[in-house]
Amino acid sequence: MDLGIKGRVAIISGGSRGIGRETAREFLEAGVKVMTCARDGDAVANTAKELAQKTGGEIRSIAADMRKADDVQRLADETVRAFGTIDILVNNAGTMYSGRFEELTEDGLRNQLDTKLFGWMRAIRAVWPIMRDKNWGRIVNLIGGAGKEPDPYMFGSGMTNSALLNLTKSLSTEFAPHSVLVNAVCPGWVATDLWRRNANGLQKELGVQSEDEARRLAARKNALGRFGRPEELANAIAFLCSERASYITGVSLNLDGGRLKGLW
Amino acid sequence: MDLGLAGKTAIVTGASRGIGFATAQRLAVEGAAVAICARDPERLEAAVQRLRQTGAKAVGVVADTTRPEQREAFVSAVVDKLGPPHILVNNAGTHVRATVDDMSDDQLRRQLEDKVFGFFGMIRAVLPHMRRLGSGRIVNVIGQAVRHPHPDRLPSGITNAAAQAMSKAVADAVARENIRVNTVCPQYVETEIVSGMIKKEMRERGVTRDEAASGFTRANVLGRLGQPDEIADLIAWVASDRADFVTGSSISIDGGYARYVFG
Repeated sequence: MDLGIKGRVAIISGGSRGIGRETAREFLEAGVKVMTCARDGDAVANTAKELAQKTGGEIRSIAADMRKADDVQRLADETVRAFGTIDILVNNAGTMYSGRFEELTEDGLRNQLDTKLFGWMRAIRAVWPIMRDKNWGRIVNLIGGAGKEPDPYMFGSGMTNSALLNLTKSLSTEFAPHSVLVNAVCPGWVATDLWRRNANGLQKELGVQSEDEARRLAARKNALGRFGRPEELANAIAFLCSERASYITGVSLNLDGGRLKGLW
Repeated sequence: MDLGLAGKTAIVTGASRGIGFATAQRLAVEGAAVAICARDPERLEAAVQRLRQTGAKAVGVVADTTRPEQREAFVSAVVDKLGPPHILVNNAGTHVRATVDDMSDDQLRRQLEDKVFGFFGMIRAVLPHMRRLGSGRIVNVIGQAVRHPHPDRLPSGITNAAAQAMSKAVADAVARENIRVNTVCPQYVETEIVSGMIKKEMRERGVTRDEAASGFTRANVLGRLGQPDEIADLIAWVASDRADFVTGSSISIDGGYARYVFG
């Protein structure tokens, strides 16, 4: 299927590893020019270099922290400087804020909201005027399933993600007259570094002795009984950003192997 | 994006025109062998001829998917001619409008026969083959009245909600057998049915096409009708190797018509 986005320009935040990295690869293979960022400039630069060699595509990277307005503006400015425009934004930067109510701190929640809710909104503000003026744009937000089905262990992430789902739907309405489509992809557990960083906490939460056991129990929560792979998320993101998804806006696609049991 | 559909066999019901035909065509272009059914033999034959122009293998069987014996005969014919089905797209069925005051029991029964018993019956007919293959993808096309019921579309609203619940339950039941079940929920698509309604409005009210269509296009945020090809592209993606972790999901494709945060 020709995605019809050859020559388009995409920003992917959080592009050094996992879902962000695979999304960059998918875009490069479809002929999209890519700007990625991460807080660790060296890590994201190494990934960009490796992907450029692998795909022959055009990719740049910068160090940026979504909590800093100047960094986010620089991300957009550098993209325009390098590639002339911005067509696609994938908001992927940030991590999970796991832990139950008694462990949640106000500072921890503020940090999560600052990175994801405010950070992603900053990125959208930076790209919106460009997409509005060209009457074409695609924004995809990666919003974990705890935003739809709260889990006490995902208290901080759940609150943040519900807010992001609302932002996604609101902006899909606001931007539709300019054919700027805004959608969300909602993953469950995916085999990434993020999982490994959370494995210890989840081990305690589930009361099991090993990471393998935690992985097995976590996977069993979804219908397919396995973890997702980063490239499976990337496939969906690339499709939603493509010309082939031109009538889809305001959706939040559950990409979780059937973990959420509600009808939507 | 390589959808990995080459060499697979796909069944699309109600595929002589509209979303069903566009889906069969997309799957054919991606290299699948396609089997379609419809009730009207002439339209079916014309659709099969057009599908073969893509270079794909295509067969058509006259079948009414509300009839159990015709469903079974259709699936048997597919297995004979193209091999066991990897993909089923349940699309057959129409859209019945009626209100609480004028809906007959028969209208509701007819709609339930199409989209609950018909869809479920097709699923049961293909399941043994998908189980033997060790893999399967089922996509149920369910109109957006499933999320947004209207008082004048009572039969559709009731039926689509039932079809959605059925789809989710079946998705859970067969996931561990590597069979994925999802729903695609379109709204305001420029099919022949909708085009006919717009032309009628243009004639009767003496208005332009845009004005006649505005009753449809005002309702979604993109402000236009969707094209059957756009729905087909999503269905093909959901049925593809690229969506192997998607199951039990319901995907709106409605130009932003549904107004709710979830879904």
